[in-house]
Formats: sequence, structure tokens, C-alpha cells
Amino acid sequence: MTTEENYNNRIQEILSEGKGQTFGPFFAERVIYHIRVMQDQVEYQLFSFFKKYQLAAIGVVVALLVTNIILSETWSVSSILGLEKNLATDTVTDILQIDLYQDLIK
Amino acid sequence: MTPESDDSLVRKSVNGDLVAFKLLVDRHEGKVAGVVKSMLGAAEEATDVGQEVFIRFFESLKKFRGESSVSTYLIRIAINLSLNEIKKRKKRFTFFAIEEEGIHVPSQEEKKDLKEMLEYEFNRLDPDFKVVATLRLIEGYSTEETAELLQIPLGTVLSRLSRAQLKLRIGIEKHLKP
Repeated sequence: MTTEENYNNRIQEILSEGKGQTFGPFFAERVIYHIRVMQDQVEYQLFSFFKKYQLAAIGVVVALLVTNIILSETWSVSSILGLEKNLATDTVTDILQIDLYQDLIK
Repeated sequence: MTPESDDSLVRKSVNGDLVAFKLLVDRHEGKVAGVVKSMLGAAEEATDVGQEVFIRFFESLKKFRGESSVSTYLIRIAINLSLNEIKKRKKRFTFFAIEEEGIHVPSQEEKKDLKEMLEYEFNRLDPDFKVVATLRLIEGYSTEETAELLQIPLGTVLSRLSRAQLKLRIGIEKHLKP
């Protein structure tokens, strides 16, 4: 073994003396605690986001319902919710049903 | 009873099982601590970086496909975060112009201790050399494993290692001179 190799081996020996280190007691517990705190924060942020906008969302829904009530001709739950069937007749179909040729003969 | 495999613990952790994740942390703390502390020293920041390593791992569990082992994945995160911390330190200490790169400079008394000297010289290594020396000399990874962990060619690992060893030797000889 050369002097250089000896030197390198000695350096390696000394440096690896500190091997098998840890981050101190209760490290895993601290990591888990941080993760729990993070999860709680995310949940809180989601909750506060919805809380912030829930009043505005309710306002929009009420406004849409009121508009439906005003514009609908009949007073029923389906008309208020905008679920009523289309009562208007199809104008194009009406026109096509007129037999123009027969009218000319008359 | 055989210990539960890493893969099984990862699957449980993905489903929010923190007890399983704690087992993973306990199992891999030593390796991560070895790398982080060799790179950053035993400062409080090393523990913070260690925590960050496992938190990042938890956050990326869903993306973890098991292509590499859990320990390889964790060591990669540990190396990246340690290198980031070294960069931050450099900026901080350049700005305040305090001790050289924030490394504890040993007194003449301390320099008598070979280990102290070696640690001092080791901390002064360029981060690219330091990370190779950490994995090869301290953590005992093979050249191939080191190359895979750092995703660099084998030749680069070998050249960086020999340059790191040379720098350490020169540094020690400098201290030993009367």
C-alpha cells in the first residue's frame, strides 16, 4: 500500500468516526408533529376560503331564484328552479306546416 | 416477526397512516443524518434540514413510484437540501462578512486534534467535492452508488474524490507544519 493510500485510508477512518449519527431524541415525533401542523393549516385554509365566499355564493343563488320567479309565467317549484318544460312552440315548424301551394289554388 | 417492508410502509403512508410514516422516519434517520451532518456540520440547521427532508418526502409520496429505493430517494433529497443550505450560508456570510463561509475556525489548541483539523478542512471543501467525499468516505457508498445518487458519471465521482482527498491532505499538512 502506498503512502498516499495510507493517508487516504486514515482520512476515511477519522471522517467515518462520526457515522451512525442521529438528529437527536424524538426526531421522528417532531417530524410527525410538523406534518400534522401542516395538514391542520391546509384544512383551516380550505375552510376559511369557503367561509369567506359562502355569503357571496348564497347571494348569487338567491338572486338567480328571484330572477326565475320574476321571469316565469307559472308559479311552480320546477319553474322557480328553472326546470320547467319549454312551453313556447317552435316557430319554424309552424311555418313549415302551412301548405303554400294549396293556398294558391284556393 | 419480519419488519414491514419500505414499500408497504410507503403505501400506508400515502393513505395518511402517520404511524407507518413514523416507522419510515425511524428507519432512515441515521442515513439522512449522516449525509446532512457531514455536509452541514452538527449545527441546529442540520436538524432543520433533516426535518425538511422527511417533510418533502411525505409531500411527494404520491409521486414516489418506487423506481429507486426509499433510502436512495431520501439521500437525494438530503443532498439537494444540504447543497441549498450551503448556498444560503455562503450568501449570508458574504453579506455580513463574518468568519470564512461560516465555518468554525479552530484555535491553535483545537488544531492539535487531528479530527478537528480534518473536519475543518472537510468543511472548507467545495460543495461538489464535499458531497462526493461524504457519500464515498463517510457513508461508505461505492463509486457506482455515489454516481447513481448524484446522477453524474463514474469518472466525475473518481476525479472529485481524488481531488477532495488531495485537498484534505494538503490542508492537514499545512496545519501540521510548525
